[in-house]
Amino acid sequence: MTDKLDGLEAELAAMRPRALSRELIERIDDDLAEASAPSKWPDRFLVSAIGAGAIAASVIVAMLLKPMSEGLAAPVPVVATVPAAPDPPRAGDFSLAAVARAEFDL
Amino acid sequence: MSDHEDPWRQWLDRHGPALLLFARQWSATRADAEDAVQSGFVKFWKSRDGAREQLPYLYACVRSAAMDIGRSERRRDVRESAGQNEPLPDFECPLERAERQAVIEAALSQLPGDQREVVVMKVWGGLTFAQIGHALGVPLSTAASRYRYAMAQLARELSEELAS
Repeated sequence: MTDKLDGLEAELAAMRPRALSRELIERIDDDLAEASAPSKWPDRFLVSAIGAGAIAASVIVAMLLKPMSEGLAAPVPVVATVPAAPDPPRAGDFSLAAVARAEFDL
Repeated sequence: MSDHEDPWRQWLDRHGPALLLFARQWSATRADAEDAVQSGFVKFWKSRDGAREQLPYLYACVRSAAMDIGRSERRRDVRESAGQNEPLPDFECPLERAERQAVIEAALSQLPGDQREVVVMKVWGGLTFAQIGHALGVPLSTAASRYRYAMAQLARELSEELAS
């Protein structure tokens, strides 16, 4: 039985499947050439548009963030310098002569 | 046309005829089988680097493409109208062996699909049972037993043919 199957196997192997047609090989060649070709201009245009859009968005965001960051900066404290009020006069501050002159002026 | 030394061309020269025979499994017309080989081979070539074993992967790609084509409604209509009358010129046919070869082809076409694909991969594709199992997603032992059943049935049918 094994010999019979071996013989059959050999007989099958001796049969040659038909070769591929030239047209089929050319179709495969075209498909592979298309797959390995550099990207077409619509692809490049798409990439360029996405890149330009990203840059524009970055600029807009930067412009929006700048005033906000300035508003958030700590305000410089404005301190009013009020001149100190003079101490009320005390009895010892004036000489007797000055007091006498004042009374005279009155 | 690319140079014949292209690696893809070497693959196609070596495995193309067996792949076409393999694709005929699910294709009623030779045109369908050629479409399957085209689609499957291109898919294989683009993605082969990720395959663990390339030859079983090539067969798996062609099988998947052939089954997809076979399932399409449009193709079904074509099959119904054209497939019935199309002869099965799947092998080169030297005149002195024409009669015997026709008998063998008829016996092959009578095999169940899961057995015939194993026979094609083993005899004409040169795959091992391990590679066949890998391509079909079945254990090695299953691939081997399908082959044995197929050969036994072929031997039976051919001996009956000779006897008659």
